[in-house]
Amino acid sequence: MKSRNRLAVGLSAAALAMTGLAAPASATTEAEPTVRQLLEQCENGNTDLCEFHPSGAPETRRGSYELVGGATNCSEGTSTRIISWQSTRGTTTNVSVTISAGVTLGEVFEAGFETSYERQWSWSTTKSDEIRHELGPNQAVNIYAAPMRQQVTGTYELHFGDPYYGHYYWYVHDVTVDGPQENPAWQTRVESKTANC
Amino acid sequence: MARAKTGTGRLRTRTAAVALASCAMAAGLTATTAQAAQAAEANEHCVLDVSTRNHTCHETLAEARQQGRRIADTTGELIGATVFEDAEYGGSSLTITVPEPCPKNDKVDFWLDLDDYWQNRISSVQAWSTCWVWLYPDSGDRAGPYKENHPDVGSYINDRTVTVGLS
Repeated sequence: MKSRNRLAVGLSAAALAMTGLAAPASATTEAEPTVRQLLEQCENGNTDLCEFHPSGAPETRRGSYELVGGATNCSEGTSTRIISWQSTRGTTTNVSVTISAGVTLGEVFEAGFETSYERQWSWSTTKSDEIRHELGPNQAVNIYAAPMRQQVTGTYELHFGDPYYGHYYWYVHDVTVDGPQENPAWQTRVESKTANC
Repeated sequence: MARAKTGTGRLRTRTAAVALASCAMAAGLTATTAQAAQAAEANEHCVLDVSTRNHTCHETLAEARQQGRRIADTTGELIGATVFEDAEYGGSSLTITVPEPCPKNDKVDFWLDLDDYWQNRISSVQAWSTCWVWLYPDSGDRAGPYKENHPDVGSYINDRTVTVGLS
């Protein structure tokens, strides 16, 4: 995504041509900003350009199985149950700044993902389903479900109109965003256990 | 294009291996066939610096881009584009760094004549900074501009690029 004013950046670049990319020496002695500080600059609209560039194809994998439901048969006979379950999974990241739907960093990531792979990013997914299961006497089952997920690692590129920590341009590398696939296939697992009747 | 390789390469600096045809706003670059032979051994992720002529290669794209740092300023150079051997940014990569954002002056500001290894090999591109990427086949025609990240450059130019331009 080009969340930016490209014209402004271009003009700024022309002005920089003779002076290099770093700000004047007086500004270059400052300490390096943190990942959080840099990403917050993008989030707060303090950058001329803020883009996300992935480092490769998304990695897909089966997500973790989580308990989504269960049933117990405390009778002395066999019982057929329809076990309904619902589960929602969201997106996680490896940074301490929120990257999600509705915030600038999320929009930048989403746009970068969509132009990069020509498909939409899915911030969360919810699945509702039911399982028909025959329970023996004093038997219980737990239902676990796991969706397919995808993980993207890449770089946030930031351009500043005025030097930030002495520089006009910064990169935040190795930002990983992990979320469900769009319309993911879910896998369920039924585990028997002793009924606590 | 698909190419099965294993990542066994180590960081190398190839300062003298690249010929800079011109300077500043109209830089033409040619890499040597020796690089191509080395690159053919495994997926390599190289960085070509237009200004200094430095050409360094790394085992991973992440290493190539960050030089081992989580965050990086761009003193000296910033990324203008990255081209990839495979679709969806796979296989070997070549990151082209430029001394300033592309000035958007309706000109192609940087030219890169690909070496034997990279000729007829590019399948996906990423445009960084303000730069747009143009891909030129041997016929003298061109494809582009690629203004964003493109997982597939299209059937017309796929595996046919011999020159890259940044505007």
